[in-house]
Amino acid sequence: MNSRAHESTAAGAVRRIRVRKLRRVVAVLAGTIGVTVIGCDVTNPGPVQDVFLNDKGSHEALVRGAERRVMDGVQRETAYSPIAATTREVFPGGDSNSMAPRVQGGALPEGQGNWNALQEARFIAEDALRRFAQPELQAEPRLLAQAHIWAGYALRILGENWCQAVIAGGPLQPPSAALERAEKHFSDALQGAANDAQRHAAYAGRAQVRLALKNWAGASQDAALVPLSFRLMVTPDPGIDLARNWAGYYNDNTPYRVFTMKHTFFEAYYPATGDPRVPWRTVAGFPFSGSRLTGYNQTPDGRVPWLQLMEEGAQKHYNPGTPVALAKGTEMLLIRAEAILTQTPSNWQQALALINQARASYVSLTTRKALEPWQATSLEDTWTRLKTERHIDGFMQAKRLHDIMRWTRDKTPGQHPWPNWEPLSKIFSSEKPFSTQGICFVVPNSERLANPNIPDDLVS
Amino acid sequence: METTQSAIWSRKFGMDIDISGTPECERTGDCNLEYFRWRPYLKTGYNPMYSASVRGGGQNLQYFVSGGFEQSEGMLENEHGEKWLTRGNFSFTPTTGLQIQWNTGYTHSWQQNVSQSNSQGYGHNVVRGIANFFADDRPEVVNRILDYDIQSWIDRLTTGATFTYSATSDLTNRLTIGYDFIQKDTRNLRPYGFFGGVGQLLTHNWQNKVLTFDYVGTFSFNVTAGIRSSFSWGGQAVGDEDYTLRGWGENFPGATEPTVTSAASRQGFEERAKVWNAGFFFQNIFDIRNRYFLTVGMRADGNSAFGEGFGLQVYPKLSGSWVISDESFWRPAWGTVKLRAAYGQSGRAPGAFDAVRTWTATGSFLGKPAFLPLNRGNPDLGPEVTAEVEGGFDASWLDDRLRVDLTYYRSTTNNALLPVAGVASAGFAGNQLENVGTLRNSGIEIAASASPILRSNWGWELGLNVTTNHSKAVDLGGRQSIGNDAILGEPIAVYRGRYVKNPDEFAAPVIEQNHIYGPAQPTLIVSPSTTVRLPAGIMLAVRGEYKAGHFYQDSNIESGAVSRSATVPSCWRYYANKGVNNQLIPLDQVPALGRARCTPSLTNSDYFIYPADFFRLRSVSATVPVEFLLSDRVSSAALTVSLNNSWSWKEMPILDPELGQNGAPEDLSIDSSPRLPPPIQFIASLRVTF
Repeated sequence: MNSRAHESTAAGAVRRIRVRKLRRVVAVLAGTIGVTVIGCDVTNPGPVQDVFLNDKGSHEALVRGAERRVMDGVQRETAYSPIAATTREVFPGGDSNSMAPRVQGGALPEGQGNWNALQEARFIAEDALRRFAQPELQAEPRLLAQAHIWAGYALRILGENWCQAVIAGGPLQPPSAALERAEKHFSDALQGAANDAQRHAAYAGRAQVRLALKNWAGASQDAALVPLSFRLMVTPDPGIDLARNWAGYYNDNTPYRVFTMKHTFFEAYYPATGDPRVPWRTVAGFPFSGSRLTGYNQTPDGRVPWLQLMEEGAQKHYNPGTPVALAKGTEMLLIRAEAILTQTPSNWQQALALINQARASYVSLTTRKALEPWQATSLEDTWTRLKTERHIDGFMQAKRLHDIMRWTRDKTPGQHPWPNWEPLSKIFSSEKPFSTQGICFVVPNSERLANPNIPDDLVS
Repeated sequence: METTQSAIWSRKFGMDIDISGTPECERTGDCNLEYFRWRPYLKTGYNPMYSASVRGGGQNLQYFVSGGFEQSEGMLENEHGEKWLTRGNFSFTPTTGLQIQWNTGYTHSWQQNVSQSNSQGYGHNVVRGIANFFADDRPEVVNRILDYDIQSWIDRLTTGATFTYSATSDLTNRLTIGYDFIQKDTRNLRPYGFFGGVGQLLTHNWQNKVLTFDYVGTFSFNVTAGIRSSFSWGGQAVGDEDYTLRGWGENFPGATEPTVTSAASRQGFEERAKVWNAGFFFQNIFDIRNRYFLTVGMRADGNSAFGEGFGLQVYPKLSGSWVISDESFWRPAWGTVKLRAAYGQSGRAPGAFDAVRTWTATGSFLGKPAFLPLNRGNPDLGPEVTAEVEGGFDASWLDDRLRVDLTYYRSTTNNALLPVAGVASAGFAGNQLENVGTLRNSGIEIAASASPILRSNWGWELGLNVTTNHSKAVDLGGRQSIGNDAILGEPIAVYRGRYVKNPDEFAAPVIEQNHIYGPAQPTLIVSPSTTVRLPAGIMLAVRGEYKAGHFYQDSNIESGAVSRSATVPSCWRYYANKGVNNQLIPLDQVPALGRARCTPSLTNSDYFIYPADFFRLRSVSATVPVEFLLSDRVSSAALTVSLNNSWSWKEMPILDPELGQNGAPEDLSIDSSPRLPPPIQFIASLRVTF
C-alpha cells in the first residue's frame, strides 16, 4: 500500500468514526428531546380539577361548598364580635388581635373576609346551577333548589350589609341589585323545591329580601307561609379551625375572652326576663375579659368585667360549634308586624299581637313560662317594641346593622336599644360609628384593586 | 479529627430603660428593658461538635469517609438539638477511559423548640408584660408555655453516581444520576390541661424526593491551527416530588405520651405534588489562540407545570472573554487582565398546580365533603424568562499582590410570574400566578484583595467585597401594583404603608397613606476582612459586614403590644407614671410619631418601619498550631478560637435588623430562638490530622 492509499484508508476510518459518533450524538439528542416532550406530562393528585365537578357524585359536595361559605360569611365581622360590638350587641373586652381598637370604638371593620366568603358562596351556587343546567349531568332537582337557596341567602346578606353590590366581577351597583338577584333565586327555588324544608327556606329568604326592598305586601305574604317553628340554621364545625363559629371561639376562654355582655342591653334584660335567646353567666375564677380596654374607667386597670354569653337555652356557653340562624319563624311574625306598622299604622295593635305571638313561643329560663308580652299604648311604642324584639330575636345573626340602617334611613318612629357607652371610655367618642359611607360595609379594597370594572379609590 | 465547642448568648435588643422600683421590676426581677423583657428567659447555650474523616486509596480507587455529631442548645429553655452526619465519596477507574464517582451523604437531626405561637407562645406573652394572655408577667407563670412540646426530626439521604467515559481524548461522555431524599417529621403537642385545654397534637410529615438525570457529551476538535472548538450537547431531567401528611388530634385525657390515634377527635390531611422538568442543550466553545474565548449555546426546557397552551421554552446564551494582557501591546507593568462579557437567558417555572383550575375539599365540615374554589388556573402559564447581561474583568497587579474582580450585571425578567389577586366577586379570590410584568435588577460585584506583607513567616492580607443591587418593577401589565411585593417603579419587595408626615411636631399625626418607605432587601453590602499570619503558623483574622439601603418592619412586636394596652420600651418616654400603665403624658408633650405609635387606637405596624442599616463584626478569630503538644503520630494540629457577631452598630433604636421569623414546617433550617436576634457566639475548635 502506498502512502497515498494509506492516507486515504486512514481518512476513511476517521470519517467512519466521525459518522458513528454523529449517529450516537443524534440518537442521544433524539432520546433527550423525547424525554423533554413526553416526560413533562404529569397529573398530580390532590386538588380537584374543574371538570370532575360535573360528575354526579360531586354535586352534593359542590352545593355544600356554597352552604359552607354562607356560614363563613354570616359570621366573622358580621355576626361575629366586631360588628356585634359596633352595633352594641356585645361589649368589647379590649383584645385588639380579634377586634382592632378602632372597631372596639365603633368603626366598622373592612369586612373583607365576609365579602370574599359570601361572593364565593354565590359563585359556587351559581356555578353549580350552570353545571346542573346540562341535561346530560342528570342533576337532582333537590340539589338544584338548594343551590338557588344558598345563592339567595349569600346575596341577601351581601345586599343587606354592604353599601354597594358587585356581581361576578362587574361594576359597582346599588345593593338592590344583589337583593333582586336573591329574590329571583328564591323564586326559582320555590319552582323546584323538593320538600317543605326547602319551600320554607325559600319563602323565609324571599320575605327577608322583600322587606329590604320595601315590597311590604310580598314580604308579608311570604312570611305568612313560614311556620312559627321553622328555623334555617348553618352549623359550624368546631373541629376545623376555619369552619368554626368565631364569636364562639373568642368566647371560649381558651384563653380568649374577647367580648362581654356587660354594659349591653342584655345585661339587665336577661336577669329580668330569663329570655332563653340571650342568656349570660359569670365564670368563677375569670372575673374579667382577656385584655384591657383602652380608657375604660370602671376599673382601675382597664379590665372589663366578663359576663360570658351562653347559647340559646343556656345549656352551654356560646362556643365554636354554636349554630347561627339565617331565618326563623319568629322573625317572619316580626316581618309581618313591621309591614303592618309601615303600611297600615293604625292597625298597630295587630302588629303588637304578632310581636307578642313571637315572644310567647319562647319559655323563660327563670319562670318556666312563656315570655311576658310587651305592652304598648301607641304606634311609636309598638315600633320601639318591634325594634327591641328584633334586637333580641336576631341577636348574633348579622341582622342588626341592616335594621339600624333602614330604620335610620326611613326615619321610623320609636327607639331601638342603644346603650350609652360614651361615658365608659373615650374610645366610644373618638370613633365615628359605622363607615364613612353610611351604616353599611364599603366594598373592600381587595375587590377595588383586583376588579378592573371598579375604580381604585381605596377606602382607608 | 475535629472537635468544636461553642457557646451562644443573646445580644441586647431592647432599650436601656431603668425600671427599678416599679411593680414590674418586683414581679419579674427584670429591672431594665435592654432585653425587651426577655432577660428572665435567656440563658447561655452550649454547642459541642465532633467529627472525624479518613481519606486514601490508590490509582484505581480513592475514598473519603467522614462522620460527625453535633449538639445544640438555644438561648431559651426547651431549645435543644442533635445532628449525626456521615459521608462517603468513592472514585473507581474500572477500565481505561471510564471513571465512576459515587458520593453518598446521610444526616439525621433532631430539634426541640419553644412555642412562639400567638397566645400560647413565648413571643407575645413575654414582650407584652402584664398585658399578656396570662394577665400575669411573672416568669414562673409565663414558663407554663414550656409544657408545649415542639419537636422535629429530619433525615436526609443524598446519593449520586457520575460515569465519565472518554473513548478518545477528544470525545467525553458524562452521565450523572442523583437522588436526594428529605424527610421532616414534626410534632406539636399541647398536653391535656395545657391552658385548660383538652390536649391537641399536630403531626406533620413532609417528604421531598428529587431524582436527577444529567447527560453531557463533549467533542473537541481543531477547526484551524489556531482555533479549537468544544461542542457540547446533552439533556437533563429532574423529577421533584413533594408529599405531606398531617394528622390532627384533639382531646386525649389520660394519655401522657399521646399519638393522634390517642385522641377522641382526629383529622388527617394529605398533599402530593410532582413536577418534571426536562430539557436539552447545545453549546460550543471556541478557543482562539488561548486568548479569546467565545461560547454560544441554547437550551430548551419543558415542564409539567406549564399550561397546556404552552410548549417548550428556549434559552439562548452567548459569552466571551479576552485575556487582554496576553496581547503584544500590553506592558507587564499593567498587570494581568482578563475582560469578559456574557448574555444569557434562564427561566423559572410555575408551581405544580398553578396552570390548572382546581377546587379543594377543604371546605368539608361536619364530616361531609364540600368543595371550594382553590385556583383560578391559566392554560397559557409559562415560565418567567430572565435575560442577563454582565461584563467585567479579573485583574491582578504587583506580582499578584493586588487582585480585583469586578462585574456589572443587569438582568431583565420578562413574563414575570407574579401572584395576581383574584376578583373576589368573580369567585376566585386567591392569588393566581400570571406571566405579567417586567422586573429589572442591576448591580456591581467587586471582590478585591491585597497582600501588603507577603513573607514566608509573616503575612498580611486585606479583603473587601462590595455588592450593590437595585431592583425595579418596570411594568406590571397595566397595574400599579401587585400586592406589596411589586409596585410600579419601585424596588421589588418594598415596604409601603402609612407614614407620619410630621413626626417631630407636637400635634396630631398627619398620615400619608401608601407611603413608599423603601426596599426590604439591602442595596449595598460591604464585607471587609483582614488576616495576619505570624511566625509559628499563628493566624489572626477579622471579618465584618455592612448592609444598608433597606428597611425593616416590626410587624407585630411593638404595635401588637401597644394595641393591647401593653407598654413597650420605644414609647417609654411618653408614659406617665413611669410606665406603670400605658397612660400617656399630656398629648401636647408627645410628638406626632409618638402619638401614632403609642396610642392604642392609632398604632399600626407601619409606624414601626425602621431604616435597617447595620454593621456587624461577623468574626474575630485566632488559629494556633498545637501539634507540638501532641504525639509524633500527629502530622498537624490547630486550635482555633473565634468570637462571632460580637459587636454591632445599627440604625434601628430597638430590636434587630436580622430578627428572624418562624419557619414553615417545610423549612429545613431549624433556627433557634426565631424571634430573637442572631446570638453572640464563642467557638473553640481543635483540628488534628494523622
